[in-house]
Amino acid sequence: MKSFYDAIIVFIILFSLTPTGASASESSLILGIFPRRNAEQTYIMFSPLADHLSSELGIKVSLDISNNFETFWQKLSTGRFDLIHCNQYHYLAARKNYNFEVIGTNAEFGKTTIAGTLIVRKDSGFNSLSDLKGKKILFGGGTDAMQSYILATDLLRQAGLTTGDYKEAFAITPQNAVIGLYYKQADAAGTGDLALNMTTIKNRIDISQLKFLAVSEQLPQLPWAVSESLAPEIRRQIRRILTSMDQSEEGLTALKAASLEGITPAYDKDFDPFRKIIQEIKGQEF
Amino acid sequence: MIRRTSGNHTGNFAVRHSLGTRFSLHIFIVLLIVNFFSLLYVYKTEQRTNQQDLRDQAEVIGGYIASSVSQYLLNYDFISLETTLKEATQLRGLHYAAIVASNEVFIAAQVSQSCVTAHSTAKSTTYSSEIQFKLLELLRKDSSDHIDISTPIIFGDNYLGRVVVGLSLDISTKKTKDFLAILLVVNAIVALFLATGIYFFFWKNALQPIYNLIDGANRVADGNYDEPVILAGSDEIGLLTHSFNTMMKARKDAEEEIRKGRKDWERLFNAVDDVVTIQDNDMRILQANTAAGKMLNKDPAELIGRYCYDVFRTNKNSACPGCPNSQCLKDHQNHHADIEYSELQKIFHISAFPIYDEEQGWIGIAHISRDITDQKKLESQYRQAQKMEAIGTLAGGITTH
Repeated sequence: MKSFYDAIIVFIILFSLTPTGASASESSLILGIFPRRNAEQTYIMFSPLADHLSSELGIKVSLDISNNFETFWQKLSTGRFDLIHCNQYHYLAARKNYNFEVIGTNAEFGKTTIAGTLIVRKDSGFNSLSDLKGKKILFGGGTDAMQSYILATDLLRQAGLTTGDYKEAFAITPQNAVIGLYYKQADAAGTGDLALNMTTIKNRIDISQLKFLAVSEQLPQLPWAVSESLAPEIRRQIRRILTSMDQSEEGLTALKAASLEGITPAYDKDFDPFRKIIQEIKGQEF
Repeated sequence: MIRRTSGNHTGNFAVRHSLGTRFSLHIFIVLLIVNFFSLLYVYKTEQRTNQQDLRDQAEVIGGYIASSVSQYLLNYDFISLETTLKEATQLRGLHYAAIVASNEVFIAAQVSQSCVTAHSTAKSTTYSSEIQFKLLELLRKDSSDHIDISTPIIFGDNYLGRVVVGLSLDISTKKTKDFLAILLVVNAIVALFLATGIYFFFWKNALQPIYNLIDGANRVADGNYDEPVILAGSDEIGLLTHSFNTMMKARKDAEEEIRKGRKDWERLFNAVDDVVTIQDNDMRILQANTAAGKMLNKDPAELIGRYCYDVFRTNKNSACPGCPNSQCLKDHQNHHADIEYSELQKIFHISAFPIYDEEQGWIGIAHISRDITDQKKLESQYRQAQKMEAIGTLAGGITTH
């Protein structure tokens, strides 16, 4: 009972200390980062970027990390975030429901695009998507994960496999889906095409034992978006600061910490291909 | 080692191998053997108990990890699994922790930094999962320094896999060694007291009475029969002491008898007016009576060891002419002779009697000298008187005629 009261007190303190959004006061902003990686790693990687933005903007920018996609979305839906870095599905949903505006996309591993993939073990004997019929596929991040689930599922649909032709399982992050595949906890993993380049993966498993069974078309990278509730001037400043980080030493340091090469300017129409795929896979209109 | 000499009568004889020392040594060896086996038994029992404790501890750790990781397994959160195991291996004595999925595939492993350092040649302090798995396999192959425990991971009714932990035996071994050290010290103290107690019991009840007997025997050898050995209980040694005291009393009585007989003989020996000496076969005086001393104007004791012919004459190296001793020495028969000693101005009638011992046969000569100087003088005067009377008678006859 005591621990219950302690939890309530901690919750109240944390809630009272955390800003509720720049829309109420633009003296501070909250940057929400989606759980592409685990929380600790995400915090370490993006803290320098938040500090850089804060320094350049002259407004305190706080990081808000979520443990999973569901939590991230709950926070987004309550208007907690002023600025988000999320997947394409989240952006489109945030755009439609909460008036977020894309300002740029990631440039990483020498690319400004990404693709959804299905990966299998080389010793699995699987050579085509049809081989996955009746098999267990581990998707990273849940049904809202753009590359790991939506694009990967689109690939399965294109191969003629429908719901029920395979068993769906969900790992907490795309990297975990790949690790789970490596450790034979599933027959295939749905993830992005850059997943195998991530040090989180490379330091843990022997990626040479895995292979891409299918790769989707190249689509815009993960977006950065701002809430339209922020003043236009601030939105313009944020866009300018983020998309020009690769032009200053401080900015490059922050980008490097976040394993990014830059943030490329992007616009809402760039995400139309995602709208089409989401409509096909999830039946949602964005 | 106790070293006791047994008095003048036994020369330099000493106790080289003290019964007490040997007994103590035997007690010590017996205690050592008994202690060794009892310690071995207790050590093995303690070792089993400590290993069971360690097994219980490993199961608790495994259970804790299992309860912590079930949600991660359900979410396929391998990175958090790894983090949890990494934190677990910070626990003292935990060599490794691993998660085996329900399909028996190892999906996470962490080896403690100390084991990594001991088994890996890599300089880096961070290691990939592959290295961790290889080290885990290596460590599990050799289970001599740890125990390997598997704990199932259950969520609801579902078996999700199992936690494998390797807990160092060092904790158990150290605990057992500490216990053994305490046990050894306690045993040593108990053994010391026990050995000391047994020794003192043995000393009081066996050794002390034996030493009392030795002292008693020494006293007897010294001719002291007045102080009997103190009786020590009613056991065999007590009986021996009693017998010894009885023997001491009997010997005292016998010696008293001998002494009395000897005294009587000496009185008789000295009561005789004649000079009586006992001599060996070299005519050396072994005993001389009071009359001999008186005759020679010496203490009889001074005559002991001197040659007979040297006593009665001065600076003579051979027997007196006509001495019956010489004859007696030759034929072991009684001989008698009258010999005049001019230096003493006396004439002695000397008799030599061989002395026989029942066991040894002839052992010496009894030499008896009777002063017959006056008798000889009277005989001479008598003969002179008779001669004068005869002359007178003869002269009277001549005158008458």
